[in-house]
Amino acid sequence: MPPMKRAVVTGLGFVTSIGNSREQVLRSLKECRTGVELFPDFAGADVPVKLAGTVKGFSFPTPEFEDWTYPAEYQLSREQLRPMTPNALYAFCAMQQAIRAAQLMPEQVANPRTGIMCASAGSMWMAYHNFHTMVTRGVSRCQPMAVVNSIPGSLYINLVSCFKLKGGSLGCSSACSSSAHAMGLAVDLIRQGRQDIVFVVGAEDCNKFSILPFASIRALSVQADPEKSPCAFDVKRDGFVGTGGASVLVVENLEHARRRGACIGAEVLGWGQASDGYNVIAPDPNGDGLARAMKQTLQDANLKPEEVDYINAHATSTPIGDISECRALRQVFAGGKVPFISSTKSLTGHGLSLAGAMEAAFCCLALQEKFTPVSAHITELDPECKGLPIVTRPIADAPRIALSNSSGFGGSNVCLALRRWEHGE
Amino acid sequence: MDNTLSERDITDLKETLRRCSPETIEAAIRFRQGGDPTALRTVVYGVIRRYQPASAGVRLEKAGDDTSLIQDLGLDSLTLLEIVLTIEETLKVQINNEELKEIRTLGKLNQFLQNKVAGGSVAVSMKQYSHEHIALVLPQQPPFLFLDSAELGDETVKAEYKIKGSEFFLAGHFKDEPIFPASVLFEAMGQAACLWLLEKAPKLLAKEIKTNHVFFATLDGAHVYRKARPGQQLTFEGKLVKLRDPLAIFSCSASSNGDRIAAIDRLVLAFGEQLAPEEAPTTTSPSGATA
Repeated sequence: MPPMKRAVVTGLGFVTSIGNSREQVLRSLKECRTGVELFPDFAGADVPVKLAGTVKGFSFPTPEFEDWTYPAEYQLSREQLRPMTPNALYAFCAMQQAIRAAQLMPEQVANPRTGIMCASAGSMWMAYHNFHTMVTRGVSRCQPMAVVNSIPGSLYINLVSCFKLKGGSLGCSSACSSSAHAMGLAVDLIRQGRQDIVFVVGAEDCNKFSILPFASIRALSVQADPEKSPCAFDVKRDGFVGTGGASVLVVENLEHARRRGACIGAEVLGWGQASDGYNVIAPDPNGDGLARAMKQTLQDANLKPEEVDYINAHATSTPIGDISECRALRQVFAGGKVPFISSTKSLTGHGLSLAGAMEAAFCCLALQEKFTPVSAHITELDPECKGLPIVTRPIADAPRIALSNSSGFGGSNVCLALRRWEHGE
Repeated sequence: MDNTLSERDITDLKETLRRCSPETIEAAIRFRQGGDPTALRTVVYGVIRRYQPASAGVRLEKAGDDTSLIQDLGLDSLTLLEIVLTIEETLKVQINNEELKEIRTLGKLNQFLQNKVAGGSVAVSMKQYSHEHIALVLPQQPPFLFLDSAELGDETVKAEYKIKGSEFFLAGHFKDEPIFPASVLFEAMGQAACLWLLEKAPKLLAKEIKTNHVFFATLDGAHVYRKARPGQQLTFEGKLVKLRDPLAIFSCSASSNGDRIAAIDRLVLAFGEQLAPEEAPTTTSPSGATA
């Protein structure tokens, strides 16, 4: 078997609660600025949840795209906007940033060797309106775009057509590990030599329909102060805060990137996945599935546990989830050096299908810009975290190797391993 | 019709016609309440205007009955569906798929809706072909297919082609002065005749005709009257003069906006398995090209 090709990250794009550009996101992460605020959509006594990681600069007052607003630097034609969902529009903007950052020419984007791996839960908001129209006004009144702007596949459907992509395309659907899966699949495509460039896109709507269904399982924080919640690993944590937006990573074959003189941000050393086999919603309290995913990742990346400097934890700030992850971390790093750990979700909110890609992109920033993201809003660590170096205050450590964890419903766990790309390498 | 609309109906109507002009909404209310037939046109134009892309070549103000919804008004098939859904909901009519296929021009749309709301049956005598459909039938393919749309009658064919200006040969015909070549005008008429032959003749003759077994045999009395240039909309009309296995004889003309462009007194297509190219009748074929 020929040696595997190496996968590197050559471009990033962000539309997130903590910023709509690399610069804004970097500043928010370094200065520990939260993207969470009181969400007007959740106003009203009947809604127990008040906070969300809002996406700034966009508005979706009605399901009609002609009512939508978005930052002026992005231009879309009627034909491009018409089949879109909010999450696809976020992703369109993040894609443009990533393409510019990677300095890709149109013919390198629209190329049979360039593919796209997407992850989104679709737009439940648009689906609701489409079905409502169908049920109340008749089947023939259903909008022509009712399918493509509802289903989870709408993300890749829209992006493939907007950017004229010619390589492989796929929508991943594994709940909150979806875009980490997309990243893993992209890395495999590059390593096997099936593609030279793969866009990894995670995107989610940010509205009642994408977030509030989690209220019934008491997974959401009912805290109304954005300076207090979410607070992963803290004793007072009471659930996650939802967010939406989009993140894009340009994953590229190292040789291809070198040939075209691309600016390399990080190398993706490997990834792993494993399932809990435990419960549809609750994670295995011992974190066995996530521990296996991390061990697999270390093996795939040819890393020893002590080589890992930083872990971007899944840690959504739910009482059970965070404990389960702490136990998984203990299993993997038992007896040796334990890497620094933080949850960037305490700043952004939990992006669901977006989370994996967003946090892998954050890891790239941390590696490249040599800082360790802080786990915000911790005043009193949960005793379960004892012995784990959770980063509650800014530290001077510049990580070289980072892991990014993601866990989804059904106990679907994914871990990604990234390495800093050194100057002149 | 004399139906006073309820408050709810009017609210619904306004919701359906959001982003249409106030005149459109008023016309729709007039139409729904009293069946005012003059309001129909205002509604149809108002709805089209709301969906027409800014980049369209022909603005609605300058459109006529012959204006093509797709080529001239720049409406793609999905926009057409949006328009149809809005019109259906506004006028409370149903347009089925078969009917929709027939509606290619503004005139057709108006006429169709007038018949429809009058409760009359909508006669569909001509079979309509889109560019894509034509490409599925004819052996000629882009960039050498010169029919954007066509309709076939029992013994007639009428086809449309807009000279885009981007046709590859216009770069050299002529350099700095693009003129649609006479030979291509004749070719386009041949393609229209070929479409009729492949679609209509098999049934009349009870015989299969394969697409690659039709040949351009004869062209008599070929005339060119005017130059045709980019931007012009060409209409090709063909009439069957005689059909007898293995020959089909047509008379054809080309026009643009009513002006004569070219004509062929007698265009003969030969068809059939037995006619391998080298055995094709050695007539005074000007091009010898297979149709």
